[in-house]
Amino acid sequence: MSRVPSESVRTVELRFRRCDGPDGEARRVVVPVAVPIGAGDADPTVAALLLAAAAGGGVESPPAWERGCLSGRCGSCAMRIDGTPALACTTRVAEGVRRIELEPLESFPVVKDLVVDRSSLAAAMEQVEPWVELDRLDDAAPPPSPLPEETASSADLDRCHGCGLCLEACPQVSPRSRFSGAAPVHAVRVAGIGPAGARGERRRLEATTGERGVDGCALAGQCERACPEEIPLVESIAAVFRKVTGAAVARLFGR
Amino acid sequence: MSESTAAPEIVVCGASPAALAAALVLADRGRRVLLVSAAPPERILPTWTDGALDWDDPLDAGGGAFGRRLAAARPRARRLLERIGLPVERGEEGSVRLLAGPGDEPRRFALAGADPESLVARRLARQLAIPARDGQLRRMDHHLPVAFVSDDEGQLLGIVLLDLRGGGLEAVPASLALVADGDPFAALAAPHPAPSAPGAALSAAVASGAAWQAEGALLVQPVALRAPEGDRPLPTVVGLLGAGFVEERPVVADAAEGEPTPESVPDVGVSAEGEAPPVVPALPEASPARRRLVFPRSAALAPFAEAIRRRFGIDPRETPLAVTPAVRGFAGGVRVDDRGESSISGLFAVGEGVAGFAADARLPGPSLVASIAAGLAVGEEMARFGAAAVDPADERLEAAREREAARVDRWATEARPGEVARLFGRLADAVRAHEVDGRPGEEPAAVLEAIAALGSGEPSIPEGRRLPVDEVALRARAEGIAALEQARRTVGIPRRGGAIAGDDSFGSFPGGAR
Repeated sequence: MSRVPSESVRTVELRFRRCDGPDGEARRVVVPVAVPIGAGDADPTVAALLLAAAAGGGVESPPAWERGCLSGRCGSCAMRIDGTPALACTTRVAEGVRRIELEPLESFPVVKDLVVDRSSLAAAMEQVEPWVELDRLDDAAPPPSPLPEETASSADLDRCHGCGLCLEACPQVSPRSRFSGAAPVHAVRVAGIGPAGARGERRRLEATTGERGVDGCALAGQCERACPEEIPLVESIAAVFRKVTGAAVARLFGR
Repeated sequence: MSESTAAPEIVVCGASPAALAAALVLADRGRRVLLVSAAPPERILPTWTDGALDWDDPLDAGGGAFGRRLAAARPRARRLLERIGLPVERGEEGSVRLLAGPGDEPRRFALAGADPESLVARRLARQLAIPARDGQLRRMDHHLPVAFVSDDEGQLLGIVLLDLRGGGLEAVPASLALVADGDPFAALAAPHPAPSAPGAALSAAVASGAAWQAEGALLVQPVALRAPEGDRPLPTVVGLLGAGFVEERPVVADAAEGEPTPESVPDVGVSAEGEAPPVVPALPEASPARRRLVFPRSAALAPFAEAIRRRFGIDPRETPLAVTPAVRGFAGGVRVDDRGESSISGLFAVGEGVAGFAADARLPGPSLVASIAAGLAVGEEMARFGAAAVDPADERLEAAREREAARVDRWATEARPGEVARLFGRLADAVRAHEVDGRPGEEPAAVLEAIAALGSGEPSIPEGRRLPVDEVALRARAEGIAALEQARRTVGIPRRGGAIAGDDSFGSFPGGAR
């Protein structure tokens, strides 16, 4: 079977810490990967190097990592690449780079090597209850129809895959703070759109009030820069903050 | 964890809209559900169904009583979509489309860059939090079913799951399960009793699956299409239907006579000899300009080219489309009766894994509304059955778990790296040559033999080194395919000539000959 012709080859070292779990002993591992450079080729992605590492015949097992669509659209392969939180499948390894330091996301417990357990983010998302209340699936009462622009904007904003990069990039999210990051706040914004969003809005706003929610944000804006889906998270936080404030004022006046 | 979630009655495998709809309806009917998925539904691979335009096509639902049941569930599916804020509109030519999308106009999601399947999956997954909160549903993400265990009578006993993050295996007792994912059907076939063994009802599923495989949906070699000018992939996978009639392959950009010259199927993983560092595989997105969609000009395939043209406004025969490689599993597989039950008692199936559901009906997979309708219909059907209690300590479950653990261990430490991906590519090549182009080429059966022999050669992984679990999962699929092929031969189901059969396959699906 022929291979895609290449003109030259360079070797990149993938460096990571072998780790079997949150309490497991970590040991530094280096896996060399050869990259063929063909004329006009784009630089390889980190994900491609990781795939190649799995296929290689070296002595060290390749790192475990979570992968999905490999095209920047599912958020599975979020990790720290040379210290920067990013997706492995969209981060390209520029020419001249000889070594890459891969680390698991710091905001979540490590499962194995580069795989982390993001269930705390899922739990934080559920905390704000961003669903539509249905009594029964086949409830005969028709739901109120959203306006076309409401439908469009909710679908357009509803792009969060829960990759966790917004938490990872946020200077406010740390073991010392209770802030649960931009993603749950954004979920409150999306869930509140349209007439169906009016139901449960009050509860959602309450759930995101306080340090855990919008009050924990210091408007650093790093979340928006890190988001692979380019969700306008700062705008979302501002929108939810306004609603939360409005609700607090309303409560003050006993409404 | 409450007592009720600790003992689920029904296991639903998959995170597709069909699976999520089924899980919702089962929980809604008061059943305790365990939802098992390889990827969390929030991060479902946004590549499969095409929900942008959904023809209200009777073919979509298939024929027979089951088809009618699916068709009858469509209004409910639309209602469910409306309730989660995604209203559906009827358009021309019987089309139905989601109204949601950026901009003022109802948009074709596919071209708008948004992606209906993952949007719908995310919304349905959020709805699942309600039964989860009420103790009706438990989610088990990052797990792949690798074996379905049945007793001698053909009654389902449980499912062996592979933890895709840690690599461990777990046997979950279940007398009622629904599979709504194409991939696990590889597991169905995997290393179970010989297909001809008396009493092994599983073999019937394997055999009927093999029959379907032989009918053309041998392998999905999916590709994500890219619009010529677009910078985001079209969220649609085309493949299936004749095993690689549409396939991605690197082409020499400006070959003589303007004909694309297939260089090779991308080496997704090239095993290195000796101590040499591994070579990077053909990269997803690495050189999009050098990859094009190869669409054979065959009369049999014209309707599908036409369907692409109609749907995306691009004629694949005229316009070379850049593609992104993606190796995934295969669809088609299990024949179900008119309630959606497979030949294993208690094991239901819905979605792409069902023989005919995807491939007979439409090009890029089943439509979103059809998938959800199928999930609702089969879920409602299953809700009427009582689940028999299975002893979690049943030794047959433990035996199956141990057998699978041994297999996983072998895959992780013995099989040659990159081999599976290469074999997948060779298989697509062979099938295309034989069954689509009608030109001489490698016999698909020979490739299947090679797949069956996977891992039997000299181990090439140094001692102590293990492949990651997702590589192992890929091997599970390859073995599944091989087992299906073996089953097909054992029970003597003839391979049908011609990949895309327009003749009796529509009529016979799915309530047909059984």
